[in-house]
Amino acid sequence: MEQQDRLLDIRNLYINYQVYGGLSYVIDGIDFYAQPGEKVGLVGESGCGKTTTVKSILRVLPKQAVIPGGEIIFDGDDVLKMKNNALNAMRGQKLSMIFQDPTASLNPVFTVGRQIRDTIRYSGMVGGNNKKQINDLAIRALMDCSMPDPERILDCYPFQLSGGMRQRICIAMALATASKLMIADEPTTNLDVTIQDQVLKLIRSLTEQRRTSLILITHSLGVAREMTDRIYVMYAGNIVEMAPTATIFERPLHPYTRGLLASIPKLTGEGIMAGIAGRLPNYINPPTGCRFQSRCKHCRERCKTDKPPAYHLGGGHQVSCFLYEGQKTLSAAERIKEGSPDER
Amino acid sequence: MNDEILVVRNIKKYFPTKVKDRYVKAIDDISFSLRKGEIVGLVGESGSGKSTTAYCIMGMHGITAGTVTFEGQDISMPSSQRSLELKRKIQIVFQDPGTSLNPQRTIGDILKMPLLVHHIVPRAKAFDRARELLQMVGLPEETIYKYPRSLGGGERQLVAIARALTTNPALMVLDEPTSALDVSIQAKIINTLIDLQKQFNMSYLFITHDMSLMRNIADRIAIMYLGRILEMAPAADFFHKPQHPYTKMLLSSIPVVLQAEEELKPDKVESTGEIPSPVNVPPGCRFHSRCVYAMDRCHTEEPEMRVLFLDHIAACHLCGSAQ
Repeated sequence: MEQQDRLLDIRNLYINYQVYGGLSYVIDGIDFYAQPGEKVGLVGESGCGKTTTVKSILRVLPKQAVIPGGEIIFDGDDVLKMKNNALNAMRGQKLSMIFQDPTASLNPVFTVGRQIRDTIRYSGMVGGNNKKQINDLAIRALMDCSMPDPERILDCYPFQLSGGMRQRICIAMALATASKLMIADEPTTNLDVTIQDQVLKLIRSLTEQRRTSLILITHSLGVAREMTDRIYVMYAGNIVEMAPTATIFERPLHPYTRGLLASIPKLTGEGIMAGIAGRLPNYINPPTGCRFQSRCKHCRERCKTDKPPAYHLGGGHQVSCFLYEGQKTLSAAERIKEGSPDER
Repeated sequence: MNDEILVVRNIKKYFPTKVKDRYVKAIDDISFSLRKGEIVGLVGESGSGKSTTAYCIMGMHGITAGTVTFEGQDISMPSSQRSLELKRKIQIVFQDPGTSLNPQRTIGDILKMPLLVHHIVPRAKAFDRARELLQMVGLPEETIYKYPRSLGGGERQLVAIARALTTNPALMVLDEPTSALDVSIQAKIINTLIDLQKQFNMSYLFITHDMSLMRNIADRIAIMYLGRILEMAPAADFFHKPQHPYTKMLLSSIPVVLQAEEELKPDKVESTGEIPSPVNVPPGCRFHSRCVYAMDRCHTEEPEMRVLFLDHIAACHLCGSAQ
């Protein structure tokens, strides 16, 4: 597929953190893209670098973070080379993000209305300071999120609202400005299943209506299955597998993806599987070779020395594991025909 | 029945608010029992009173009304009035092992403390026993010298489980023991818990919001909503014949990973609304504000708990009339 089609294209990105014990090599050369209107899932367990990855797109990483290499192309511009003005314009108009904890991302001392109106004002959507128009847009944003009685809610403080309502306000704020890409970082992890269901439906219908691309970060494969078109599975700062959503669940290939899927308790009641022994490697002294080696049943000598490249298996399925070496690796021409991402 | 180890009868727990005569009705009249060697899951959304129920059984809260009976003995009093013998038999594992383990003590000290308080083993043997306990939960021996901060979340929770095992309890209350952990680690903890349960024939009261987890390990599940049990049944029944509209809503909201699971879900009941405040419990059926089947009767009359099938009870005006 043509690279120009990509709204977001992350190429070979590395991110390190300066920590007390030295340098922590968190993101280890990832490739990631999203097309306009596409819903992409980024799945992995806590501490595997999901949030770090998306924060780099907005350039809101903490100051200990160092980006030694890589490119982030968003809507034709290299985000890593942007000046502050351009960056703010991009954040205001094209990109928005919903965080996991709506309580922490809303300011407790301002009313909801003030916060939504500010978002709209600084996005530059409304020329000058047209209060009436800004207010109308704010009410409209709340109505779109199926909030009852939006005028009253605008005058509320965040503490007067429930968790589900607060998350809906964050979504309203994110979508109030005409954004091209919405990043949702575990938007429903703190919510109950019935509320989660409602919030996810809302995110889906709004992004589909507006043809906004969505990057959904989650640790729940079930949520990713319901929400996305394509899934990246991340482990310890590497993308280990990427495939269209249906393929991941029908034919998971990477030992980590398989282990993860097997660990999830199923409604069919087959009992609890073994899970994955061990824990994430230390990022300060990451193992050479595959980062999953210490927890992998199929670990061979080679896994300890070489980092597995991404093997493209057709149908847009990509897996980084030596087990799949030589299995129908497509040539560049075939890959374009198959619609899978090309290798750089 | 004789094999019932824990019987909870009509317990209520009201917390006072700043306003006189207004109460947070955290638990509002619930009854259930736990048989010997059984795992009962208590499932509900946040604010439904699951944890309060656990704390009432542990005696961490005094009970406003009702009785709790353990092995035929009334234990409705708060823990300060309970005998050491009784405390030994009921143990609890909390949700967050990061805050339930003392950061200034080594794992060895943490495990030795209850051994000495309850005089389980003589002081000289406490260290060896602590090592045995670690082995039982599948942790390496050298863990005994470590501090909680140097362990991962899963390992810490295993230590908390080992600590609960020190007194050879007959009943373990597990308050969301795995909800702070990743699924790959959750599987190990759950397997350890199940093995231990079989080995020592303990009973578990498992509090969680994860229905899929309960489906796999619980014998019976009770669904709580706003301080009440709405439906209680053997685990498999919930998926073959869910009765209460809330149960159906809950089940159809669960995100799943297999097509086979998708087919098990009841017909889609659109989830609407949010759990009301336990200070202003709606009159009539407390679920009517979110129920798609709500009738006039539901607004005024609180449905009674009815026995529908063997071991299967539900409180809804719609359930039971057909049978």
